[in-house]
Amino acid sequence: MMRLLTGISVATLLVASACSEETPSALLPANVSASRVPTGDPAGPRRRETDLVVNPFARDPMALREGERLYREMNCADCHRYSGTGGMGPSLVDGEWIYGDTPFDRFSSVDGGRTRGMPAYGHMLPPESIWKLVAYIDELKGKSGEPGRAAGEATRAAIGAQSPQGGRP
Amino acid sequence: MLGVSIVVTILVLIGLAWAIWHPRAPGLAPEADRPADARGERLNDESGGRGHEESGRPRSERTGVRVMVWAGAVVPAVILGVLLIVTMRVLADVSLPAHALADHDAPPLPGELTVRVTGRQYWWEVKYLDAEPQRTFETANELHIPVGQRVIVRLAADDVIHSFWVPGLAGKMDLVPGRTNVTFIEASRPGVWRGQCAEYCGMQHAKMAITVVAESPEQWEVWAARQRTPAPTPADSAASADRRVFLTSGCVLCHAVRGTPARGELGPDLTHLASRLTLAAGTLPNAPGHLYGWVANPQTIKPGSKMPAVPMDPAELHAIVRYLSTLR
Amino acid sequence: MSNPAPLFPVLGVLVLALASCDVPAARQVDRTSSAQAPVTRGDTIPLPEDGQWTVQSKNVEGWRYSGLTEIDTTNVRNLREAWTFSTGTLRGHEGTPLVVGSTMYLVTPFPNIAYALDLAAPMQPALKWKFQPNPSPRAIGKACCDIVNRGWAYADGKLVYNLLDAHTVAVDAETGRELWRTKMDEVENGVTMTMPPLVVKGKVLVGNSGGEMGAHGWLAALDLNTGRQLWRAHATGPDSLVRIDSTYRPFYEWMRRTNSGLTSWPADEWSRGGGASWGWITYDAALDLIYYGTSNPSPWNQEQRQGDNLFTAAVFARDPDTGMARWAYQFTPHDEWDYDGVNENTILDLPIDGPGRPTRSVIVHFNRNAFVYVIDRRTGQVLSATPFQHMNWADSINMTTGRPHVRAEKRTWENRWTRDICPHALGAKNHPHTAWSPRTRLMYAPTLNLCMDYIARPVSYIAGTPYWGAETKTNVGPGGNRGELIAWDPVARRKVWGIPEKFPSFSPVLTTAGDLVLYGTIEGDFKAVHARTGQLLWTKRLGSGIIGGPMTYRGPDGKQYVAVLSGIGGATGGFRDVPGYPQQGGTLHVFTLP
Repeated sequence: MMRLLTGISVATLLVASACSEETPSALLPANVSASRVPTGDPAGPRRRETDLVVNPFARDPMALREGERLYREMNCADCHRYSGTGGMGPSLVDGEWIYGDTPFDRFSSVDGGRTRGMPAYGHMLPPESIWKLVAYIDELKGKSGEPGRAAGEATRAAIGAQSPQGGRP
Repeated sequence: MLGVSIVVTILVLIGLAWAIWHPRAPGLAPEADRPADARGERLNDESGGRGHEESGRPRSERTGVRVMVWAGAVVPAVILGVLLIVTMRVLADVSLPAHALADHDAPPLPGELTVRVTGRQYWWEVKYLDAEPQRTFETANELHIPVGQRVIVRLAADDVIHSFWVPGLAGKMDLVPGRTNVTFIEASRPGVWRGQCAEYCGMQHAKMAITVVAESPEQWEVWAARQRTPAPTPADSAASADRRVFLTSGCVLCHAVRGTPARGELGPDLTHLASRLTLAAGTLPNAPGHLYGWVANPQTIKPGSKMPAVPMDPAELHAIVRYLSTLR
Repeated sequence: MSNPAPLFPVLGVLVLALASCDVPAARQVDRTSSAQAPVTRGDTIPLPEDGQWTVQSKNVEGWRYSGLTEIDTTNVRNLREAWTFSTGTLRGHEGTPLVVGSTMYLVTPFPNIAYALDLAAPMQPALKWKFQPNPSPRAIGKACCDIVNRGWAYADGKLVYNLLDAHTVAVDAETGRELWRTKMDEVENGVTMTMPPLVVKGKVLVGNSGGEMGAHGWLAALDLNTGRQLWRAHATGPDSLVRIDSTYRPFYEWMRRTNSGLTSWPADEWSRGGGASWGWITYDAALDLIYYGTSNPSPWNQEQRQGDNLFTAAVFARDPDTGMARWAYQFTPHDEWDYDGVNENTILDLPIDGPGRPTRSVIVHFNRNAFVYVIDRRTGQVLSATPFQHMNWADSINMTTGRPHVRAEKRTWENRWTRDICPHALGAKNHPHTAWSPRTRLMYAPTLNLCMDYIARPVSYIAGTPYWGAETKTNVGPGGNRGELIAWDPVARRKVWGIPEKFPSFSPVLTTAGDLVLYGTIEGDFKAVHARTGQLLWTKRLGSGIIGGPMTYRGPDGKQYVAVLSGIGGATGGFRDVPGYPQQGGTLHVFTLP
């Protein structure tokens, strides 16, 4: 009896492990590798691919006005307040980013939503609209006078502007 | 008015002609040609330049005054007074009632038809007002009016200045953000008139037309009753699936379809889209091919308009257009 | 027995021994009637004080009054902290602890953990059980005014409360095991639940939140044993949804039209019209009616919803068995200022018609719109409506029609600022619960003295996002104090005394037979004042702000304890830049005399 049970358990485990090895790629959404958070690397710090993504509309005045319109009309302002200081949703101007502090992280919050109640706009708005929204949020953050990241970014940008590579920290 | 003006003009011209060419008393040169004495007075001319009557007596001052008073003041005053009364009556006839001008937010009185037209870049929101909330309804870019009834039009704008101009029916009236202008239109016969935004309002100002359809009061009632009804419920599961695609797409961020959860406030109300003559404020005829093109990418047809190219695959596009075509 | 005499000493000792069993080991307590002053309702029906606190507002009539007298105006200055308990969560702690027997029950804000504390050891409560329901975090971003829980109910050995993600849960009070959990609405559509259930006749009465999210407001009754829904009454829509039939008898003619919950809205706006029931429910057992209010209409932009918008900003009287409406009255028709009608309706019998005349059965309701209403609870007739705080949005309430005389210049419009409207959208009194003392015949109300500038904006309904459409700026009302704790005489219709506060008054109030009034402030000061004069008798600064309800109970050791939760949050976030606004926290504080 014991041998039979042992045999069944071993067989089940083997089959189960075989099954899980066969289908990993079908369970993962496409292009997940871009946003994987890497482990440390003895050869030097690695970055996520998406850390390097730049907002094509950053500081573009036309895009900022469009972003402001979208911020109001897509009901962002009612959750995050017109000034971005937060209410139902978290503050967008205090420099604390729950889900990551790169432009791509902000893009993917709007695009895909988040599990604590942020709805997904990705299948309703084209990517350009979402980038314009992110550009406007960054402008709000800069205008808010909140210390922290905004000041740090300005310093980095100033240092970067003087360096031969030109702005990339 | 015209007749009176013609008569008065003829009389004045006759009078003027007589003044220029009337026969003078014999022997008396025109005043300008008479010799003047050193002090600039007439010699032995008791008439003071007023001439003499047939009897030889000089004309008195009083006669001249009488002519001036009667021909110059009283008769014109009477004529103008009559014309004034006629003008006031006509003006009253072509003006809005005082309450329509005074309170831009009050619901219309019974028997009045009041429409609120809000100009947006680049389309016209048309809202039919009523004291009963359930009888109000909203449409876009098309204004239906009953023949022979004055329709009060309240004009508002949210973004920039537009101008409401239906050349066949009325003059221009601006839509100015922050204030409500009021005008009216009235059609005396059935027909379709094209109107145009007449104040440059941005990139697509040229493609911001409004269509005014005048129809008999009975036909208008039928149209209004139809517009008040919510969107029809889908007839079968395929239609339900189409509606579901529409309700989960980006369309509902901006558009409303009454009778569904779609209640976007930013773009035209689509509840009866399929009943309209044109798309995109007169830019395109309302036909399936044009609707496909418009929904798929409005920026290629009307670049700079506020409607974005919502991401969708071909199956979604077909479902959405199919659903919109049922919104008669 | 031949000679019973030797038995008598034995019997005597036995009797004495039995008598001494009553005396608790720790301390002799005077159990004379003064320590158990009877609670009377209108001087007619005495209710005995049992030292427990089994209903959020102490009794189903909504009094928040305790008959305990051990702590009174003479000794409250000696009050000291007995023990504290950390709830393990931050954010707004808005509920009142319940004490049933020797167990205390608490529920935290999201994630809505329930604790049962055994009070047997006086200074060291033991955790009897902890229940973690794990509600969905998607509800976090859907709650307009912090992820709070406003109260929990105990009935028949069950602890019943609402989860933020629109479920109602019942937990075995003895073991902490979940008994049932009922899904009440779709949190993805922006509907959450924060309100304190009321259990009446074996039915759990619960309502939704979401007046800022375009929710369709409702109140429902669940079976206490199974969690199965028995009926659901909506606040808007046709009569069939609002549960109106031929038994409906509102007092005012304009409330009587057929399907008025539909015809007072354009198109289908009623289906996202708000009217959420996120506040308090009270119950009159003699008339067998429940009373509760509905929230503001949705959206805040009034131009998008022409009409009276029935039955938002209103009070309903319903039959708890069937949910059918007996009468209704709308406080603020076509509300343009967010004056919800959800504040409590305290059930009282008052000599409204004068001394020597029979008392009237009324409800007393401090509305957001700065009027305190005394309404005949049989018929829905407004007997008086008196301003209790500074306000300028209306001149008065018409006593014939019950409708307010709105000032045209204080109406609100799309894309146009209206300046200096009083009271603020938070109201002259928000949800924190009043207290009524049958001894002083006064109601104690936490009020706000704020005004606002208001501009409405066009807003689209996007399910799961706010259907709000307004921006406001907050101004302080005259006098410079943002809040005031007032003592109000509902018969004389006047304020007897008031204590100005720097911050809005946002905690429920407790009053006792010791003639004390206890309340908390946003800064975190827990105060005891004299119920008759308002004189400050004792205060202690707690770790965080107080927006939860103080309560008092008799512990198993016979002593009287006072308990309150500290943990700022709720709708007070708008004041976090005012100096003195505290940090977040989550602690239960229990006080007693030495």
